[in-house]
Amino acid sequence: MAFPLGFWDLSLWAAVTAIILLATSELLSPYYGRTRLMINKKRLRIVALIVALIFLASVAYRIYEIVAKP
Amino acid sequence: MQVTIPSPITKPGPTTLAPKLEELKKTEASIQAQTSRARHRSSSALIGYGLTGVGGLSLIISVAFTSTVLAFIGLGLTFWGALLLFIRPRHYVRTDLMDSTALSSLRTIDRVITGLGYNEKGIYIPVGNPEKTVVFIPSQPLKQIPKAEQIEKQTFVKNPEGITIVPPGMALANLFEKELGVKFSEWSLEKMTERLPKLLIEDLEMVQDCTIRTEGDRVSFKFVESVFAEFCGQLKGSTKVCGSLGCPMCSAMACVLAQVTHRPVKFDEDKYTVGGGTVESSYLLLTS
Repeated sequence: MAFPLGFWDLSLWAAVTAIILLATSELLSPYYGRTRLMINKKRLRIVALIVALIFLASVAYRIYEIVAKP
Repeated sequence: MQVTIPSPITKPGPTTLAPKLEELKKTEASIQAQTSRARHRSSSALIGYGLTGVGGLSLIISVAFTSTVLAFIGLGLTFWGALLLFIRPRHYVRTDLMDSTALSSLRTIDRVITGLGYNEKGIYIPVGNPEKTVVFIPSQPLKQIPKAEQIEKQTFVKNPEGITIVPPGMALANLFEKELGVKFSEWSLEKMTERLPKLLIEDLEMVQDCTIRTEGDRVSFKFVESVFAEFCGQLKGSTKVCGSLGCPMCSAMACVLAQVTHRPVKFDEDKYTVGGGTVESSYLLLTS
């Protein structure tokens, strides 16, 4: 019994989720979207940025792996 | 042999029962509030808990059966469920409800001020006390702006004759400070022009657009689709408060200006567009 997803699976998942969240948070911005959707948009943006940073960190780790361990 | 006679059972009087009754009433109110909260739990919360539960279950099954598909489904459902719970809005209040609550108190202020003969435009004066700004409404046109120390501790001022009150937008200005985590007295006018619109549009979602223009000693604000637009319109139609003190939003801006510039601020004029919900207000920075 082991968790079936590896590091790269999670990285891919983080990338897809980050794109969805970043696009949503941008569309809901009062500057562009002018929607009256009642959600805490500030928190949504924070989550979107955190997931995007997680993905970028995984990419950085990948680059480090390629450079350091050829 | 000593015999102890049991003391007669004392009937609880009204004085002993009253605190108990009070306590029971409080408990009842608390239980009722809890029941009501549980009954009216929002659908978004239920969906959030549901998604998180199903997602968690899916993750456990994926570990048991080593299934990648189930793991992805579980991860997604858990994440979106948790996100739905995290981004739920704070308690929102309809604007007409907010307007109805504040309108009568401002009408009362207007009646008192005009009844006492203070008909001139209010002057926002920065003071050192915790209220930070007071508004002075003179009964006659002023020859000289009074000093803060002269008026801050009095309500009815004799020389020059006028009334000193806490501005209707003071609490709103304090909220701006709290949200920004700064003190307006440490800001410059340029910094305010730069940072205040973002707070009003993005963080507090009070307006759709905000423009601040400075021309010498005159500062103008333009708010598009302000949540206070309708309230401002109602106030303008029924009272003189809008002309002398400004509606809560305009008053808050005057408080902010007084604190930022450390100068007395005179509310000059405001324009209200019925259809677009646009409010334009301008202020004059005075020299004390």
